[in-house]
Amino acid sequence: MTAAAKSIPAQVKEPNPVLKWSSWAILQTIPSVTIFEDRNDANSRLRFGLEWQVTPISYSFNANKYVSNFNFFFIRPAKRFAGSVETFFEPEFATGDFKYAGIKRFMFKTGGRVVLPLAQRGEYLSFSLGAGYYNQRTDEGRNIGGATYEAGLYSFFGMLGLKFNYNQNAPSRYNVGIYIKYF
Amino acid sequence: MFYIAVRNVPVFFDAPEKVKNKIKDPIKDNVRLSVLWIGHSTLLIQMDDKVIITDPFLTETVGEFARRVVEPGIEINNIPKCDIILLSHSHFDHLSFGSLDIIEKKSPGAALVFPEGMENHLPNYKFDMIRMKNNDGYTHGIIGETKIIKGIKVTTVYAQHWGGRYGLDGFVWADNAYTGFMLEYNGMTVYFAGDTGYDDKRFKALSEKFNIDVGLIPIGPCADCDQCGTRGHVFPPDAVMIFKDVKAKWMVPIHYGTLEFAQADPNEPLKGLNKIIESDTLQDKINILKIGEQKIYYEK
Repeated sequence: MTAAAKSIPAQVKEPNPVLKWSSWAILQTIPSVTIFEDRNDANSRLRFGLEWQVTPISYSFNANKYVSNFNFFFIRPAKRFAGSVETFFEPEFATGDFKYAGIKRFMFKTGGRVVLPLAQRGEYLSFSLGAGYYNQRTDEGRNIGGATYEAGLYSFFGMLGLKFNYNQNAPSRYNVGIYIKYF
Repeated sequence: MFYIAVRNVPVFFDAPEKVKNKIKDPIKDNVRLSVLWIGHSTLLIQMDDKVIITDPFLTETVGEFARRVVEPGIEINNIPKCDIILLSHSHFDHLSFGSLDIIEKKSPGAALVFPEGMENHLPNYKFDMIRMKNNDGYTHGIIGETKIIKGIKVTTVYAQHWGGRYGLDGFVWADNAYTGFMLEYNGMTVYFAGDTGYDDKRFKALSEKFNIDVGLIPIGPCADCDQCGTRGHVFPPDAVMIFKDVKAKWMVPIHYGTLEFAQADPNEPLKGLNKIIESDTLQDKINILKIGEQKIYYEK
C-alpha cells in the first residue's frame, strides 16, 4: 500500500434552508431562449427573446407513497416528468421591438399542461401538451388576449426541452423556444 | 458532469464490449451463497432461496449520456425473480429508472429498499417500496435501521458519500440520502458498501456488530489508484482497508470497469488493487470477478 490511511471527515452538510431556497430561486431566473414571431399583413420576421418558467401547482399521478402528489413551485423531476398535470405562468420578454406586430416587448402566458413520460420515466424523454391564456399589449397600451396552445418535448432529466406555442389571433402568433428549468 | 459527458463522446460510437459465456441460470438449488457481478455496482446475490440485486444498472446508458463500455453480465431474460432490490443512493450510475422498469416486469412484488431522502428521486413502481433510516447521512452512529424484509434481516450501515441526483441538490441542498447495507440470512452476512469514502473508526466498529462473509466494496473511480481516495470514494488502498476493518472473509471489488468516468480508464482501479493483492498476499480473499462471472461461496 503506497498511501497512508487517514480519517477523512464525513461529507455531510447540515440542511440550510436559506442556502437551499436562495440557490433555487436564483436558478429560476435562468430564462428559456425563445424566438417570437413579429408580423403584420405585409411583413414578418423573428425576434429573439426570453421566457421564464413558473409552475405554481403540480399534481403528480406517479408519485411514490412517501411523497406528496401536490407540489407548489418546487417540483422534483421524478414527480413531474413521470406524469403530472400542472399550472404554468410564463413571463416573456423580447430583446428587440415588434415593429410589424406593434406590440410591447413584455408579454405573458398562463394555463395548464399535462406532462407525460416517453422514456426512462420521463428522464430521457417526455412531452407535454397544454393550453391557456396569452396576453400581449399593443404599443398604444391596449391588451390583447386569447387562447394559447403549446407542445413541449423534454430531455436530460427534464431540464432541457423544446417548446412550441401557438397564440390564437395574436399579433405575435408563434413562438418556439429552448426550455431550460432546474426543478 | 461535463467531463463525464466529454469522455463519453467516443464511447457512443463504440458498441459495448460483449460478455462471453454469460450464465443463463444464476440461481442454483445447491448454492447457499453466491455473487454474480453484472457490472459497476450491480450484483446478483443468492442467499439460499433469496435473490437480491444491488443498484441495478441494466440499460445501455445511464444519465442519458454515460454509455456502458461492457454489456451487462447477464442477459435481461435470465435475470431471476428478485426478492429485494437495494438502492444505495440516487446518483445516475446507481439509480437507473430504465433498469428498475426491467426488474419490475419480472419482480413486481419485490422490495425496493432505499435510504431516507431517496424517495424524493423515485417515481412510483409496482415494488414494495421501503424507506430506511440513515441517520441523516450517518451524522451520528453507524447503524441506520434494521428491518426484516422478505425474511432477510436488512440493516442500513455507515457510508460516507453524498446524495442528490442533479448536482446542486447533492452538493448544496444537504441531500444526505446514501447508505451501505448489511444483509443477514440463515447465518450468512453480505455487506454492500454502496459508494463510500473511508473512515478509520466506523468501519472497524461495523466489524464488532457483524460477522461478514462477503464485502462488496467499491474501488473506484480513480486515476491515481495507488493513493487513498477522496471524501466520497475509496480507491483501492482504502477499499482494502475497509475490507480489513470490517473483517469480511472475502471481498468483491465493484464500481469500476463499466463506465467512463472523468478520471481515467474504467479498469484503472484494478491495476492499483492488483499491486496491493500481490504485496499483501490477499489473492484468496479478494475475488476479482469479470463482468458476468459468478463466485459461489457456500454450497449445500
